[in-house]
Amino acid sequence: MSGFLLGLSLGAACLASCAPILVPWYLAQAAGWGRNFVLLGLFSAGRLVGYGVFGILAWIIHPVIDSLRHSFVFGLIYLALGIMLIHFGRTQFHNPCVSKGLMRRIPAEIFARPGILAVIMGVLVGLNLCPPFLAAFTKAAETPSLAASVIFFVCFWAGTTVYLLPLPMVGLFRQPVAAIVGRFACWIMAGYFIYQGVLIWVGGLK
Amino acid sequence: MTERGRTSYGCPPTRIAWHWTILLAVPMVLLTAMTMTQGQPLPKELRLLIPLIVSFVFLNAMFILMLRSGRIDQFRSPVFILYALGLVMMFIPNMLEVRGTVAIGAEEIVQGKVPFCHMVIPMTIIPAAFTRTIIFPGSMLEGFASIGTMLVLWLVVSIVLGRGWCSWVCFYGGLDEGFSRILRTPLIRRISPTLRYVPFAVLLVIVLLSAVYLTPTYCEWLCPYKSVTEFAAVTDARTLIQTVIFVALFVGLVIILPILTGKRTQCGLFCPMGAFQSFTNKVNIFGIRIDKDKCIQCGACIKACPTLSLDQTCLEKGSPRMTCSKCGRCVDVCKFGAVSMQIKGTPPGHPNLGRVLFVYPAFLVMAIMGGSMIQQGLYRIILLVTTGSLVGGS
Amino acid sequence: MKNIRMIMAYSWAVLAVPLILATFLGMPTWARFLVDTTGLKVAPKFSGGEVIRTIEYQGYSTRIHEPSFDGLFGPCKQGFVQIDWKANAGSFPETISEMIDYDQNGTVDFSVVIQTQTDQVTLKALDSPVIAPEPLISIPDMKILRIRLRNP
Ligand code: SF4
Ligand code: SF4
Repeated sequence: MSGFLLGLSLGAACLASCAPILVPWYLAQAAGWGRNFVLLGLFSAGRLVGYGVFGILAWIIHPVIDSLRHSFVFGLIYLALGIMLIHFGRTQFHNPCVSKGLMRRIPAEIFARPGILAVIMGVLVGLNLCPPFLAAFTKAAETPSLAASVIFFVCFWAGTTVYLLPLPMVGLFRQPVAAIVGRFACWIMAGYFIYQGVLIWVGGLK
Repeated sequence: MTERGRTSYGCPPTRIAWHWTILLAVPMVLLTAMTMTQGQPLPKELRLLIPLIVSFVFLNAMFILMLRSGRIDQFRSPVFILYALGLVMMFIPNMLEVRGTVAIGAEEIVQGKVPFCHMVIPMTIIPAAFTRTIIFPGSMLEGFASIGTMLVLWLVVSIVLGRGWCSWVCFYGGLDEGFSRILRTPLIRRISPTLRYVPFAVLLVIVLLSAVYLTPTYCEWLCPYKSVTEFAAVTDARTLIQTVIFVALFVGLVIILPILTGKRTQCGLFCPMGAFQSFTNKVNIFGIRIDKDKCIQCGACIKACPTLSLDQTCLEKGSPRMTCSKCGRCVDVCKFGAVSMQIKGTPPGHPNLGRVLFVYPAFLVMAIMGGSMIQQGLYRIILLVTTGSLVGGS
Repeated sequence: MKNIRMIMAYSWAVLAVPLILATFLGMPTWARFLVDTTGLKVAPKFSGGEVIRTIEYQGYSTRIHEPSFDGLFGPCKQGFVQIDWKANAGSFPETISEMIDYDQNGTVDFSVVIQTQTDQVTLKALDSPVIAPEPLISIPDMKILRIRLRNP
């Protein structure tokens, strides 16, 4: 459940980063709401696959993370995460996520098949190392078993998906309020991660 | 019921005639007399009697002037500011008397002796729904500002006033309002409208973090008002960092930025409770209405709004943003009478009726809550002057 | 329809004053009503949890709280149990030494020795869920100790 909540808290940032890809795409499709929902379903399924892969990865590196726990390096990870979140909040509207760059390399034919494209985009977004996702990765790495780690990611996926649900309604919102709130939420979370990092540092250096 | 008034800048076109004013003021005089004396005979000791009489006269004078003048904010604001100052003057010496320090120690926490504050409410909702517990080290029913009492107060005021809470009831709001009124012409005039979304982001983050960690995260590391009420005793690096954050936020958001911008920056650009309270405006019966026929789009109200709740689109739409705290400043500054306090669902054209029906309950809550704070604040000042100390006395 | 809406709106607005008055005048009753109907309590993390057993000794009594593993959607991996010692006549004996079976399963979970003058605590875990004690909280007639536990 903490995965779901983390997804909810960072999902606004996910929305902020992925909406610039999804929204123009939906608009370009000029499809109705119903069709957009189907596409969102496929896209989310793709993300789930991507997240599942990371759930397994997170479990594999968990012994390493465990040994670093509460140490100087772990504090540093939090600090780096915070700084990345700040950067992410600052630049999200211009270069949203890694997937966008990868998207450009997708052959033009695929664009003709929106269903396949939705799944591929989903996997790419799932595999993309954006900071909200990194936050989930760090947390999942702390879980003790493979199942727990994968479940954590599935929950994180569910939490972030909540934010993507209204996306097919694009066109209704002229001002992306959620994205603005998400950007600020990102910065506050960044502050929180930096604060945690500093605390671990101060505690570790005592 | 009304007579034509002047139409110079800052004068609404309608006032209430004196006989109506007096008639309307009598119940408030009686109610404030009843609540301020708590039905007891007047105290004999001068140090107690003077604050009681001064605050009683002050409150009622402000109310009478508010009714008569047709204005709201001009006579609300001084009461609201003194109410907040009264809280600080009352709270700190009170804590010093009761526990010898303003810092909360682990003892107070485990004994549930921390007064409950409305800022915690948004953070308690998810945990309360899932665990049936309140994540705050207070008492459900006993002692000063118990959780039950504060929840009832918040619930009723939200139904009656919506985000009017933030201009009539919140005991902190008067602090940044006070500082925002220091300079006649603000030094910083442009504030990015995007910043109006920050409180909603703070709300989102603290609500979710509090649900994850089951502690009131905002109180633990973000509340600027800890600086003037109480905070965890500095015992380690963590509490030291927290205290530095509290003080920095207080100095920045409650003192410096309000002075420079003339806006309530803590309330309009940061407070998550304010953002949360904005949603109650949606279900509340009172609201500001802008008459598009009378409005000449001069923008005076936009400039005056202390919580950045007005912009050009609001003038076109005829109502402020949902963050409006019903302070009434826009009503006061519009010299064309285009802005009024109205009851939703009623036809336009009765500005004084809507105004009176709103200010009555709003002022009543402020008088009940603020009256005792102002009174106790004054008492502490008299104590300081007569004995050289804020604590002690009778 | 418009008229009905208007009458309702005005009535609601007029009712605001009596509502506020009734709230303040009956505050203790409303607060109790709210607490009773919702069943809300202070979270054990802050209150220490319900006292499940009180043991009387000469000069003081020991109160054992219910162990708490509170999480949002269910029990957590870690929690705590709180033990209070309350002096009957204002002062404690120099040393409090006690064996605690907090889960009342017939086996002692830990032993604790408190030097009441210096507030020094020695805790010996006898059962695996016990992790470590938190700092002792000392107020004039009370000593409060929380012991961190693993959820078995
Ligand atoms: S915005 Fe916050 S601090 Fe300001 S008045 Fe409202 S609740 Fe109080
Ligand atoms: S819109 Fe008017 S009443 Fe509302 S906060 Fe702004 S000035 Fe005050």
